Amino acid sequence: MSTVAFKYFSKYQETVKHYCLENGLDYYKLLDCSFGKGKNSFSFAHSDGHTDGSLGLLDDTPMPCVLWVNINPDGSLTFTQTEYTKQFVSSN
Amino acid sequence: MLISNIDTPIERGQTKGNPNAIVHYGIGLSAKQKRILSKLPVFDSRVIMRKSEVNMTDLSALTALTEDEYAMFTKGKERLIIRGNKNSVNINQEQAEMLASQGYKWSGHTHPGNGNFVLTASDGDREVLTAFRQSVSVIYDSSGKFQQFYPE
Repeated sequence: MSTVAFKYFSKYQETVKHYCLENGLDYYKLLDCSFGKGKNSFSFAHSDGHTDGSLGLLDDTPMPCVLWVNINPDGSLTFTQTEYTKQFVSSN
Repeated sequence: MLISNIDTPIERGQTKGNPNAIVHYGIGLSAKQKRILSKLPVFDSRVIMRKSEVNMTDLSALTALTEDEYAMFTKGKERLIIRGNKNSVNINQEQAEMLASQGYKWSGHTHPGNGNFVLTASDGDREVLTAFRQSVSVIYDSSGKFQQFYPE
């Protein structure tokens, strides 16, 4: 995770870590994922890294999202797993 | 009855050009957005506009109507807009590096569709961001929602 991204993520770090522990997810695998930040949300997407670095935007298929997190008005977090969550960030 | 939400409010009399209204209720583009689209008729159409003439919400609106991607690059007071198709924009890594060397910054681009997962970046997005040596860029969906993404 980039420094800029982590600066934002750090305030939610412990909550996310706790969620991973409670739900059989590997927190460190999650940190290896691509992080995205929205207005009231953030997400993690899995990069398979299987690109030769030349395509640029010629194939702009979004990476598979493994975890979506909504930030509620009271500051609490709502987690949404996807069909890719267990496949890529399971702790097993 | 038009329904707005806190993320993409639709104000009375201001529905034209609102991406959320376009995608959900078939409302049309604003006059400004129609002018932009007229300059981008097909895949790989490119136009340079003044910064004040176009923003990412406009591109989101175009995406809502056409279901194509649009990318925006900014240099000083001008913006280069490139029309893509449903899942790409004709910018490879070499071209991205060339734009970066010319002083452009990658302001953002759109992904057609709605729902949270449309807003995640592609591997190519991150590579292009690295080519521009930027720490962040943004993706807008067809409803005007957005998410920032980072190189690593």
